[in-house]
Formats: sequence, structure tokens, C-alpha cells
Amino acid sequence: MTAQTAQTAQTAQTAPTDQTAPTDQTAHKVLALEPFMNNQAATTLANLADGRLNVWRNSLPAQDAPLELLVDGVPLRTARLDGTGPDNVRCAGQRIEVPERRWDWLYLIGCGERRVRDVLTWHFSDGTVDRDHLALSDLWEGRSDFGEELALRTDVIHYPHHVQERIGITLWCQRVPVTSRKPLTAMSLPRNPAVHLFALTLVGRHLGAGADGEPLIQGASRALS
Amino acid sequence: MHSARTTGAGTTGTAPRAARWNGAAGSYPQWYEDPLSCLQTTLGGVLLEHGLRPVEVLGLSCEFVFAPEDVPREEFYRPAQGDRGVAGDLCPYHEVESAWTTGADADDLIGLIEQHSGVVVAVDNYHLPFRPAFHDVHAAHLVVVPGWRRTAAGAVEFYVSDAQPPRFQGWLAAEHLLASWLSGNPSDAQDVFFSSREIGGRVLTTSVREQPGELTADRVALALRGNLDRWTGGTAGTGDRLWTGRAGLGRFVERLTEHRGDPAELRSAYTLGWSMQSQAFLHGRLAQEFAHRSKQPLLLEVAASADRVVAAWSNVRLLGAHAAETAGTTELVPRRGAELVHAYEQLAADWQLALATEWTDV
Repeated sequence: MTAQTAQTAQTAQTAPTDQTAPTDQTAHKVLALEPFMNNQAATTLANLADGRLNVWRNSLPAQDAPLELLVDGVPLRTARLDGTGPDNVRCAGQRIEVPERRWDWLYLIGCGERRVRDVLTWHFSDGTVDRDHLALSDLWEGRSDFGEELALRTDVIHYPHHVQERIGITLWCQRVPVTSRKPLTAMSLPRNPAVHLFALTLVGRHLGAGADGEPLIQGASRALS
Repeated sequence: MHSARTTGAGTTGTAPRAARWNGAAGSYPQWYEDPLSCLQTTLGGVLLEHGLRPVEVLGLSCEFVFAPEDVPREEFYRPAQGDRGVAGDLCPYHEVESAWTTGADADDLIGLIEQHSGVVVAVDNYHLPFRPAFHDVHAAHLVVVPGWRRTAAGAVEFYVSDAQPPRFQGWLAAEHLLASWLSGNPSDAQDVFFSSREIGGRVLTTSVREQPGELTADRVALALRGNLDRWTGGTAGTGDRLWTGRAGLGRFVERLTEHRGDPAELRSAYTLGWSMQSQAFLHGRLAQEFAHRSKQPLLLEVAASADRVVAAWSNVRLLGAHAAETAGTTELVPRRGAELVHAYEQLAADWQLALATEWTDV
């Protein structure tokens, strides 16, 4: 994965990002997380003790603007991180409905309290469910253990009563495959208080390019059918 | 409590055992990875000081051990097993050992540093100016103190090395270290995991007689065999001081499930789990490194499985840590426990598969 700069991402945001927008044969759907936000990651000097990123109540220094990134051409956008209230989803099994169609990837911005692995549960239009693995590295002075790109790295970390220098908080860009080709209708987040999600974007082929479930098989592969 | 050994006497405060650390230049060897606690990072520093690679020494053994009567209160907690101290428990295939002892004042600490050519010192972070918890949170921790000196003005200073972020090493006025080392570490609502047990002048003395040398396939195979034997031969009988291996983990998960309504019981899994998780992490790292070095591809499967044990511990530990303030999480204890058992079983299966192949040094 390659994450481009925020400046580039700003540009990307001016382009349509809805599922119907073809971008090099891919379609994106930025999922609205606001209804699910139940945790405050960012704090200001005035409310240092309000953060809940981990058991130590560490928090992220408030940012001037939401994070907007373009990763592999996929737009990711967080809520405001201004320290005024909930700004991320701490995973507790929330079910998020998605536009029904075949999706291939879920791109996300998130972090783990300690490095963490869990599963996302996919709900398909035929009533079946399946899971794929989600892996996120440690938010607290961690290194990328699962190949993630940086979404944000801070120079300092907020403690309930002071600002600590020389320890950084990292938010990561990660992705999860939707292995099954069935049309997806919803996803369930893991029930895991160590997983914080700040942005979710679904990625699929644009409509008419196999997105409706019809596989696009060309060339030598065709001989197999 | 007793001292591990009496060798090393005769060194001076400013000229300890090896040239691998230099108090004047500020270069005590430090080692840190985010899954590790201060127990591994301090012992890792001591091993580096002796020219040994921490991953190769601390990464051979991987096991489950639980002491049902213990109430873990420190980041560096690990159930005591053998008679070579916690270092011997963590390094069963090397000539490394440790012993806990105590002191009561600066002279005692200077004496221990001189006698053992440096020591690992238990501290309360509340009193250490370089820790984030300084004058805020009481929390037990370990640092390496390889030397001491007297300044021109006659004041005593100790050299302190702490590899945990934000990382520090350097000379520290005695008053800070002594306040930290002799702290009562009172109960602190901001750190319910690592407060409320007196630091009490505890010191971990170490002895490393192992000579640096190339890790051999025989030694790795011996360790895998030992890990497998300890897993399959584990016990958890009534009255056993230690629950170990497969039987021990199974009973540990049952107990955690039975007591899932008790936040203190679940919190203890956070503390115990750190030492087990760190060990699995280092085992995975060693297996990966040695697989590439020795062309033993099945060791890569061991590495991947060890990493799943690390992940399963994260989920058990963080569930336990958050249970008290996160509604609905305790019902997941049996599931997270099952994940942990499954992860260890897969690792054991991969030990067995790796051992079934021919092992030769290349």
C-alpha cells in the first residue's frame, strides 16, 4: 500500500467517491461512521483526561482537520479529530449496513491497543456469513507489524494530566479482503475493546465491470470454464 | 531471598564488568519491541552486555505457566518455576540465572552493584523523572543499574537504563532512584494493574556464564522438543503450585470463565499474560530468524503460529483490562479463552511437524 500526502488526499476528496464513481475500474464507498462513534481518541490541553484510547487513558493530540488520505487510490476520511467528543468507533460488534453489491476490500484507518488480530464478519445477500482477518499494530509507540502504512504519527502523547514528549501515537492504514464474491449487505465489527476504527471505505470494481457478481475472466483463464 | 552468586566483587562503581557499556559516553545496550515488558527488556540488556543476542536466548522457550495462588501486581510478574530464578526460567537452555534480594539504603544498593557488576532494580515510576508517570501514577517497573559514582561535590549518582519508551539512560541523582526503589507503591486508581504492592528495595541480581556462540540446529531442536514436552506433559492438579502446559491452560481458562464476573480476576490475566505473550513473541521471532538461516521452512510455520499466540494473548489481556468498564465483554471470556487454547495447540502441532523433519546444521 502507498499512502499519499494529505495534500494529495485533499485533491482526491474533490472527486466523487460514491460507489458509482469509476476510478480506474474501481468504485469506492466511504462509510459514514458518525452514528457508531463511541470513543474519544483526541484531546486538547483543556480536556486531557477525556481521552480513552487505552487503559491508561492516553489520547491523541487534537488535529486541525480530519485526516484525509488516498491509499492505493482509495480515499479515507476520518471524522473531526478536534478533541470535542467521540471521534472513532471502539469495536463492540456494531453492524454496519453497506450498499448491496460485490465488494472486494475494506480499507480503513485504525489502531490497536497493543498489536491486535480479530475478525470482521460479512453478511451476504443470500443470508450467509463469513469472516476475514483484521490486523492492527500497536497505537503506543508501535511499529507496523502487519505491513500497514502510517495514517498519522504524533510526536507526543496525551496523558490524563500531562503531555508526554518522545512517545508517539500511530494511526494505521490497513485493509481487509472480502474473500467471498457474494453480494455483501452488511458487516459486523469484532467485539473487541482494543480495536479503534476511524475511517472505513469499501472498494470494488465499478458497476459493469463484474461488480454485480459476474466474474471477469479473460485470456487463458477462460479456457478453464 | 538470596544472592545468586558472589563473583564480580572487586569492581568499582564506575568501571563495571565489560566494555560493552560506558557510563561516561552513555551507551548501555538497550533493546525494546512493543510486545515486551520490562522483564524481558532489562534481561535483554544484561544479555547484550555479555555479548549474547536476546532473541536467541529468550526466544527458545515458549510455554504456559500459571500460579493459581499468586496475585500478580507488577509489570515484571512471572510465576516462579525453577531454582535458577526468573532468568533461569526464561532461559532454560543457557547458563543464565537470577535471584531476588533486597536492600534498604544507598550503601546496600552500591554494595549489590559492586558485588554483581550491576543489577536490575525494581522501581515505582512515580518517583522517576524520566517516566511518563512521574509525580502522577504509582506503577512498578524494572530498570538496569549497571554502575554508580560519586560526583566531585560528593553526591552519589546511579547510572540508570530504561529501554521502555520514552527510553532513558544516564546518571541519576541518588535521591530519585532511592525514592523509587524504596517506595511503598501505594494503591493507585490510575494504574490498578501495577500499583498497591510495595517496591521495598527489591533487586534482581543476574549471573550470565554463557559464552557467546553460534546458535545451532541441535539447540533449537532441543528447545522445540522441550516446549512440546512441557505442553503435552503440563499439569494442573489440585494443590499444584503451578498449572502448566495444555492441562494448565485449560484449567486457567476454566477458572477465568468461572470468575468472569470478578474484575480483579480478569485484570490478573492482563498481568500474567504480558510475560506469556512476550515469550511467544520472542519465540516466533527466533523461529523466523533461524528458519531463514538454517533453511528449515517448517520453522516459519512455527513462527506464524507463535504470532497467533501473541494475538490471542492480546485479546485475552485487553478483554480482562477493560472488562470492568465495558458492558457485555465478560461473556466473551470463554470465546477468547478458546482462541488462546487453539493458538497454543496449533503452535504445538507445528513444533511437532518441525521436529519430524531431519535437523542438521547447515
